Amino acid sequence: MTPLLDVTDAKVHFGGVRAVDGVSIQLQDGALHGLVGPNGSGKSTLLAALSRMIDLTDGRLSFKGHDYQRDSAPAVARMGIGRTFQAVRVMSSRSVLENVMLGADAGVFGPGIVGNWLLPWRTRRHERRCREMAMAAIERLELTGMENHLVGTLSYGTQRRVEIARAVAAQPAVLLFDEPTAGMNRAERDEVAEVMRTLQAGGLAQVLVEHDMQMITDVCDHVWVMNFGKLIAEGKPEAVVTDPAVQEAYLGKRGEEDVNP
Amino acid sequence: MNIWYEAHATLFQTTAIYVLLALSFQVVLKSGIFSFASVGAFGVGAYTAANLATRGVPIIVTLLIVVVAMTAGGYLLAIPLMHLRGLYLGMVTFAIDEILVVVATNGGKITGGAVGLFGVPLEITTLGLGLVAVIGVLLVSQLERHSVGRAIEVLRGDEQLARSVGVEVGNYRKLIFALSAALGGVAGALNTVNFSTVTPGSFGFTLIVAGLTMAIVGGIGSWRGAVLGAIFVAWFPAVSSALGGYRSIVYGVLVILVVAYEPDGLLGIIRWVIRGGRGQLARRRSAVPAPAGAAPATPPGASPAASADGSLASASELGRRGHDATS
Amino acid sequence: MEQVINAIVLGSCYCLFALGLSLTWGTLNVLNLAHGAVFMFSAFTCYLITQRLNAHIPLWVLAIIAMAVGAILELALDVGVFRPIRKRAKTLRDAELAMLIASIGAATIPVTIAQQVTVDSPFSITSTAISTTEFHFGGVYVTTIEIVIVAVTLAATTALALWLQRTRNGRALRALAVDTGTSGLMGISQSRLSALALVFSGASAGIAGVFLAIFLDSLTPESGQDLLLKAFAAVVIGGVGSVWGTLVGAMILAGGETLVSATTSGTWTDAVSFALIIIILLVMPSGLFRRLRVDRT
Repeated sequence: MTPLLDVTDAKVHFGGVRAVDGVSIQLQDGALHGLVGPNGSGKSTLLAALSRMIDLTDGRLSFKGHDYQRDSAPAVARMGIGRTFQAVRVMSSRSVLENVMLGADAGVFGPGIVGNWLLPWRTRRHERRCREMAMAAIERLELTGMENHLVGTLSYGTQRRVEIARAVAAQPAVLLFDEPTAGMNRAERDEVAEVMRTLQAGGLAQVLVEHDMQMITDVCDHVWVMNFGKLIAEGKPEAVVTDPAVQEAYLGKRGEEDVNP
Repeated sequence: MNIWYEAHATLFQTTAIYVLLALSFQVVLKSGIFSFASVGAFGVGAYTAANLATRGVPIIVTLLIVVVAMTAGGYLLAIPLMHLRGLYLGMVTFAIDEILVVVATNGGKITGGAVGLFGVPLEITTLGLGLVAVIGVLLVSQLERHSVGRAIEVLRGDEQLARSVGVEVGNYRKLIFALSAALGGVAGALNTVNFSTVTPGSFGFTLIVAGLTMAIVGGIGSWRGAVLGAIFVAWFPAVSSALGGYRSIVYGVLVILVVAYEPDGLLGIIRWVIRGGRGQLARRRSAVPAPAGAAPATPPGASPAASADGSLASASELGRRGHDATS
Repeated sequence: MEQVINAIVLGSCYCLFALGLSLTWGTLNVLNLAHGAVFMFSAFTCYLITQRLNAHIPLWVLAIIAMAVGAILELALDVGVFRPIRKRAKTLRDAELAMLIASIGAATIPVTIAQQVTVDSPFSITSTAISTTEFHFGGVYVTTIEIVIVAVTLAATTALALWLQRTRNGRALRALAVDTGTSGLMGISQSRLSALALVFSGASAGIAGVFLAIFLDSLTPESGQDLLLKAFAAVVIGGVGSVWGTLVGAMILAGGETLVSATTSGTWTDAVSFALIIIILLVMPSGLFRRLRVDRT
C-alpha cells in the first residue's frame, strides 16, 4: 500500500551543519506518529522540510505518490498537508470564524485578487463553501458558540484549538504538529491529546513532534526517534522508550522530557 | 451652495486625485510592502498623458494605456524588488522615483525639461475625476473582503503562516505592487489633464511625503482611511489658511500626534468615537495579542464584556485594523 | 587634482552627516528623516548669529553652537516623538513606519521656520571669521577650512567607531541592534542609550551643517532633505551599522558625483546617489562592510 507520506533519504544541510542527515520514514493513511529527539536532533527541521518551509539539500518527499520536494509551501498546503506552529499563530484581532476560514481557504480553490473583481458570483460561492468548512471544523474542535469571539481574548489553550481548527478546516490528509503543548499545563495537554484522538478517529493522519514523552505514549501508534539528524530508532512507544540507543541519546537530558507537570 | 462648490471645485478635483494616490499607498502599506513606487508611476502617467493629450488622444484611451503600462511595468519591477524588505524597499523605490525626476528634468522635448509641459488640453470634468476615484475605491475595497482580504491581512504580519495556509505570498505582493503602480499612474494622468500642466516638481519627494501622510494619517487599515487622509491633506491648507506660512508646523504636529497616539489614524479615531470611547478602551485592554515567544503567557482572562460585544459577524466588511500581532 | 580635493571634502561633509543617520538606523531602527532638517537648522542658527551679531566669530565657536543646537533638537525628537511611539507600537515594523512618518512631520517645524525667516532665499555662512590660509601641495591649493573639515571627519569617525567597540555604552548600543533585551540586562536603560545616540547624531548633523554652509556657500531650507537621500546612499554603500563603511560610502558617493558633474552638464549629479542606492541594494544589500544587524526585515 502506497504510504500517504513517503520520505526518502531526506537531508537538510546548512553549510557545515547537518540538521537532517539521511532520514527515511513513511506515514500511512490515518496513522498518528510521533517524532521525538533531544534538542538539536533535527526533528523541527524535518517538520519544516515536510511542510516545505525549508528546502531539502537532498532526498525525496512524496505525498500520495507525488514527489513534492520542489513544490512551494502554499502549493503543498493546498495539496493536503497542514501544520501548526510551536507558538500559537493566530490573527488575534479577528474572530474565531475568520481565523478558521483562513484555513478553509486552502481547501477551496479561491478566485484570487483578479477573480475577486471579475467573478463576484464565484467569489460568493467560494465564500459560502469556506464558511461551511470552517463551521464544520469549529464543531469538530468543540468551539461551537465561540465563532464571533475575538481570538485575542481567548485562553491560550483555546487559541491552540482555534489554530488546529484552522489547520483542519481545509480537510487535509496529513496534519503536522510542531510541539503543540509547549507551555501548557497537564489539563490543557490532555485536551490536545483528546483532540488528536478524535481527529484520528475521523481518518486524519498526523505527525506529532513533541518533547512530552507522556503525551507521545498516550496518543501515538508509532514513534520515530531522531538524534544528530539521523533516525536512531522507531517503533511502538513502549518499545522505543526502553531502546538503549534512545536512552543513551537522552542521557543527561532526562529532566526536561520526563517532567509531567 | 453652487457658488461655494464652484469656488472650491479645484479642491474637489485635488481630493479625487489624492484619493487615488492615497489608495496607491494604502494598498501596499497594508500588505506590509514599503513601496513608494506609485509616485514614480504618477510621474510616468502624468507625462504620458501630457504627450498623448496634446496629440488629441481621448482621455479614456490614455487612461487605458496608462493602466496597462503601469500594471505590466509594476508587475515586472516587483520581481527583483520583492526580495527587499521594509525600509530598504522604501528607499529603493524612493531612489527610483527621484531618478525619474532627474530623467524628467533632462528629458528634452518629451518632458519639457526642467520647465515641464504646459497647455495640455483639459479633458476631464470634476465629475469624471470623482467617477474614477470611486472606481479606484471599489477595486481596493474588494481587496478587503473574502479570502483575498484574509490572505492580505495574514501575509502582512506573518508570511510563514500565510504560506502554511496556502497563500501564494509572492504572487500577491507582485499583484498588489502592480495595482499600486496603476493607481499612481492614473492619478498622475488625471492630474495632468485636469490642471493642464506637468513639471518635474509635481512628483518626487514632496509627493511621496504627501501620499505617505495621507495613507498613514488616514489609517492604512482600510480604503476608508485612505479617503480620510486624502481629504485631510487636500483640505488642510484651505481650512488653515488663517495660519499663514506657519500652517505647515500645525500640519507636522498633527501628523506626529496621530502617528504616535493613534496608529490606526483618523479612521481609528472615528471608530473609537463611534463605539463610545470608554467601552473601546476596556475592550482594548483585555484583547491582549497572542504572544509569539517560546514561553507564552495566558492572556489576562477573557472578560465577559469583551466576548459579549465581540459579535463581529460582519467584521470582514469593516476592515478593522490591519495589524496582526503575531510578528 | 583640484577635483579630488573637492570630492574628499564633500565626502567628509557627507560622512559627518551620514554618521548620525547610520547610528540611529543601525542601532535604534529609526530612519530619522528629520535629520536633514536638523542639519539645516543648525547651520541656519549659525547664519542668524553671524548676521545679527555682525562680528567675527571663530569657527570653533560656531561649530560648538551648531553641535549644541543639533544635539538639542534631536534629543527633543527622541523624547517627544520617538519614545512615545516605541512605547505604544505593537510590532517593530509598525514602530519603524510610525517613527519614519513622525520624523517627516517633525521635519516640517524647523524647515517652515527657516522658510518664513529667510523668505525662501538661500543663506550661507561667509568664512570671514575663518582665516583662509592656503597651502600648496604640489601645485594644488588647499584651504584651512578644507583641512579642518577632513580632520574633524576623520576624528569623529574614529571616535565613534572606538566608542561603539570599546566602551560599555557603545557595546550596549550595538547590542540593541541585535536584541533589545540584552542591553537591558547589561544594566543600561534603553532610553539613556537612545538619548546618547541622538545627541551624537544631532551634534554631527550640526557640525556638518556649519561645514557645508561654508564649503558650498549656499544652503536653502530644503537643503537638508536633499542631503538625506545622499546620506542614505552613503550608509547603504558602506553597510548599515558600519562606521567606517559610512566613511567609505560617503567618499565613493562624493567621488561619483564630482566625476559626473565634471563630465556632464551637472543636472545628472543627483542621480548618482539614487543609482548607487538601487544598484547596491539589489546587488549587494549588505553593503561593502559586514552589517551590524543580523536580520534586517
